[in-house]
Amino acid sequence: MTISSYGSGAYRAATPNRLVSTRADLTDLERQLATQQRAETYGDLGTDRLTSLDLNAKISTLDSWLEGITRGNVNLQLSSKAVENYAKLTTETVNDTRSNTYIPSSTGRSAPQVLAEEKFKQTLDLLNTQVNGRYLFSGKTSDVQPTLGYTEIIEGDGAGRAGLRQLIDERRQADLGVAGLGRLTTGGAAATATIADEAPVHGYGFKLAGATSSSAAMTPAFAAGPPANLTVTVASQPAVGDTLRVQLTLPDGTTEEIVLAARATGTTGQASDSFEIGVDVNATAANLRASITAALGKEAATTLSAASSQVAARNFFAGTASSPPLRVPGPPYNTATAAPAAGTPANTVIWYRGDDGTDPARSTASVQVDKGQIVGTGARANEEAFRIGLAQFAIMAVETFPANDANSQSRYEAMTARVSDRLAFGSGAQKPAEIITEFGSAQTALARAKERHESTKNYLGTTLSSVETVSREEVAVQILSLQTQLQASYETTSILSKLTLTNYL
Amino acid sequence: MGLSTSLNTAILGLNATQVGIGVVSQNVANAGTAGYVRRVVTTSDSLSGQTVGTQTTQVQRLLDKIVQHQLWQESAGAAYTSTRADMLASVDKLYGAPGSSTALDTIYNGFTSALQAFQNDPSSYSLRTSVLDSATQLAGRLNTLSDGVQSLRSQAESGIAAGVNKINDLLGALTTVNARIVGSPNDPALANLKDQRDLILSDLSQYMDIKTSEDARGSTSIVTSGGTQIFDGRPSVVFSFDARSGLSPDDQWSSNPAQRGVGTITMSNTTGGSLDAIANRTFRSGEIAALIEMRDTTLVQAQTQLDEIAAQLASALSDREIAGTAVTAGAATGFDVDLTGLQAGNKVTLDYAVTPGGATQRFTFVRVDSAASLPLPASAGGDANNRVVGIDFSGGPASVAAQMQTALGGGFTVSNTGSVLRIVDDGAAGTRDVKALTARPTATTLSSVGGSAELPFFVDSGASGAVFTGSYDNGSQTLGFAGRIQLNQALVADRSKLVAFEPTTAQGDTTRPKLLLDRLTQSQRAVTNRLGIDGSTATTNVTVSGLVQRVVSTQGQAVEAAKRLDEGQKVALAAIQSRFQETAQVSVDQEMATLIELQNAYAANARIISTVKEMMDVLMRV
Repeated sequence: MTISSYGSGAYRAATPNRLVSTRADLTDLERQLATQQRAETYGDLGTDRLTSLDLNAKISTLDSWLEGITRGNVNLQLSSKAVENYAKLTTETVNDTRSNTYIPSSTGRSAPQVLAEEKFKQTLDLLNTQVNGRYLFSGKTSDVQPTLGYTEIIEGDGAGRAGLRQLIDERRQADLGVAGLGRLTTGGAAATATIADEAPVHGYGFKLAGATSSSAAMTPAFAAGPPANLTVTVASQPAVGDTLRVQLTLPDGTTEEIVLAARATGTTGQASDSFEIGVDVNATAANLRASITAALGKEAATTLSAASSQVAARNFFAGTASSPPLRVPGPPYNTATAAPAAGTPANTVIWYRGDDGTDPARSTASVQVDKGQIVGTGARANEEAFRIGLAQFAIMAVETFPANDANSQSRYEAMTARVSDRLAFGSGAQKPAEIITEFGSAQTALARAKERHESTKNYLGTTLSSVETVSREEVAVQILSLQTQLQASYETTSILSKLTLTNYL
Repeated sequence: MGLSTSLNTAILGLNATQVGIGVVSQNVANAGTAGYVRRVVTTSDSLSGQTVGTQTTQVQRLLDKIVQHQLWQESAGAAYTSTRADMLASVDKLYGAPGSSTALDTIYNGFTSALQAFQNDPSSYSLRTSVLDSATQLAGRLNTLSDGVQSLRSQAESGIAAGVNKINDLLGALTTVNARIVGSPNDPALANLKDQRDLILSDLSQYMDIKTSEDARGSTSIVTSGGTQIFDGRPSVVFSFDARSGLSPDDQWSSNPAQRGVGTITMSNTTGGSLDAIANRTFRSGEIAALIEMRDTTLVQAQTQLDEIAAQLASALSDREIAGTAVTAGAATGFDVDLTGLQAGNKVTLDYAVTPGGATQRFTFVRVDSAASLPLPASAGGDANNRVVGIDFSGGPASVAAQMQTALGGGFTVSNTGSVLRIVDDGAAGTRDVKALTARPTATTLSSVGGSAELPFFVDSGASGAVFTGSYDNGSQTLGFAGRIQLNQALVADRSKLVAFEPTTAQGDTTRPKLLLDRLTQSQRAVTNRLGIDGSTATTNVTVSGLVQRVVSTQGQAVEAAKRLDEGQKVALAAIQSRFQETAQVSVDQEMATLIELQNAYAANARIISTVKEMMDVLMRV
């Protein structure tokens, strides 16, 4: 209040001033009652202003943490649900392929394959889950849709970029070789039959791993090489039922054994699993040679084909923008000897578009829940658990098994055996359950932090309100006492003003 | 004694009572008049020869001169404190209501919260927008506050101008009244003239602190409490004020007219000499002193505090910290640091300890690009433990090393290899120990190959959107920066730059968002002692968040202190007022009592006259 008095006479205003200032106090209390705020400026707040500033800042930080937790929770729940659904899809496929489900059909595809195609598409949708424009499975590039569409992945983009189907085909050609014997050469003369790995040494097709015989009549001599070779000498005529076993290693790391049993002269049987005992050892050896070729041919058309798809699909899904998928050099592919080399983004479809840093996937997105606590909530669509499932669904979707092909059933079974094996996520592979567990523990961390922050915030809020706001009761009591005081003052002033001698003259 | 003598005395008595009643009526009539001082009639006996009578009725003003002088002193003090309290309350209002959405700290907290949310999901468009929105709001708020402080300074400026005019007017009016009082000592209206003179003096005391004295002739002379005579029958000096309009932060008072951006009060005496009244501290109390203090000290400091917030905010987000690499040269150990990229205003800090047992101290070297900018202005701060030295970089790296060597003195060896600076201690002698050497260049680009996470988030709109480096060339860039701070518009145009510091940075990368938040809420910033926050005199280490809180709280405290002072002054003034009133105020009751007394006296005198008449009649009938 400025003293704007003019001259000494106005100092008579001293008493009225006191009334006015009491009245102003009353007005301020009335404001406090209405707004519940103790003060309108930091100056009026008194020594508590630093408490108010500090608490306001703390509450604002807590609010932003809580908001972050809420957002993070939504993302985590969705990510978690997506992975759970994906895990269910893989389990279903394992169940689908457990029994013999091959049914020759015009399309060459059995029911589980048709389902697998749908599951593949569904998995892509799950991995492309988006919340508020943020792709949950894209690592740090959360603005980029992590995967391409089904057609582009499988068939390529039709403009020079090869899709999975082509890569499988190339790999299969390379594995089967020109003769379709899995890049092995067979031969022999007189009483011997030979099988040899191709020279120069390469990584395609079968690799001889050894051989045994049930009788001294046929003695296999195995040279580990590389290149490995095997020479079977028919020393004497084998007895009916004597077997020769040749072990083969496949490109996907599985092993197969071809078992050739001697059968009596004049009987008939499958060349791929038996040979006829001839008139002499040379004739028997010739039969054995024919049988070996037939057996290798069948094995190549079934298990090797299945293994080939596995390798091609594994390489394809391992591809990222920084390291495109490995491809068989060629054409020609069936004589390729050089090791698979990385394709280029220009000639090969890169199915995963998201970030592919070397840091853990979980750390690609984070929620700060406390000053020093950062919870990782990120995920990448190309984590191993997803790659495995996608590869298996894709293989099942791509392959066809024509009814008129004698090897169809075997090849189908070789494929499903591998698919169920992989979908069991064995041998140190990342399992979907691991991701779910990690998301779960992140959710727990968020929930704990939320609980902690809420209780702190409540406490701080109470403290702040005791600093910044007033209780109605307190103000009401103050108003009452001020009112009494003011009334008394008015009353006295009015009595005094009447008490003048003028009235009594 | 004859009857005629009694008659005469009674008639004189009647006259005296009439004058008395006249004064009572005047008192009653003027009971509410401003500046009216109660009067009384004094009658004295006169004894001439054998005659006793009532003689020379005098009207006297009843007032206590000492109390009146005290009253003028206190009312000057009250004008001073209430002006300060009022202006500071306006500053306080600028900072907003506690916890309200317009409060500076709430807006600042909004910005850090937005950054907090942003780092959880850096690719989100809405979160990026909210960061930019809250940053714009914060910059805008600082601009508004700065403008508010400057407009209060302009108000103070025009307040001073009005006050100076008023003083000159009052001194003019005083000359006239004073001359009449001196010229006609027996004027019946003398009491009225004196009332008027007191009124003028009382008014004058609102604007400045005055002491008055009256000489034998009744003429008044006025000196200020500083001892300058301003009135002696006529004005000794004429005040003038060269008011400037639209003050900005760099308009400051200086005793050097060439550097002065604001008006100053000039006192010209009758002989033509003139003096700067502000430099001579002529005004020590009253409204004008308060306005001068607000304009030149209090509001300037408020602006400095805002500028510091703006400067720290901008540098915290843009300044890189390049730690030196340790080197040994013989027995001496120290650090190498590359000074490339250092810009005018950027700092190189050297932490060292005097061994054995000394605490870590600091040298801060500030780049300037012209020798004219040296030495640095006092606003650069610094204290015994953190000496701030300007280094002229225009002479090339060797000259820089030489200047640093000079500043450091013995115990250190400064050398350079191209732009790489090396500072080592004195090795075997062991009197100094170099602890760290850090260059702090400002990042100038938002994104580049091999770019840094720091970015010019806020820029200086005054220098057409240039990066803020705190340069001292051509005046301090920090001065008034609060009024010019602006969000870098390139960020608004391309929000992805909030995340991408390199062309290959993923949009969900949290490096830059985390840095932005940490720099504001975790990193300690050295704040200079010029700020006067919490009365601190040394360089304080505080986070930007802490700085905002402390500035708001310091401001609140200053307002509260001013208010308390004002309240105290009002109590003192009220006490003096009531003492003054005891004598000077007209009490109607007292006047009525006097009236009855006078009525009785009149009746008694009349009775004497009628008795004398009766006696005369008796005599005549004889």
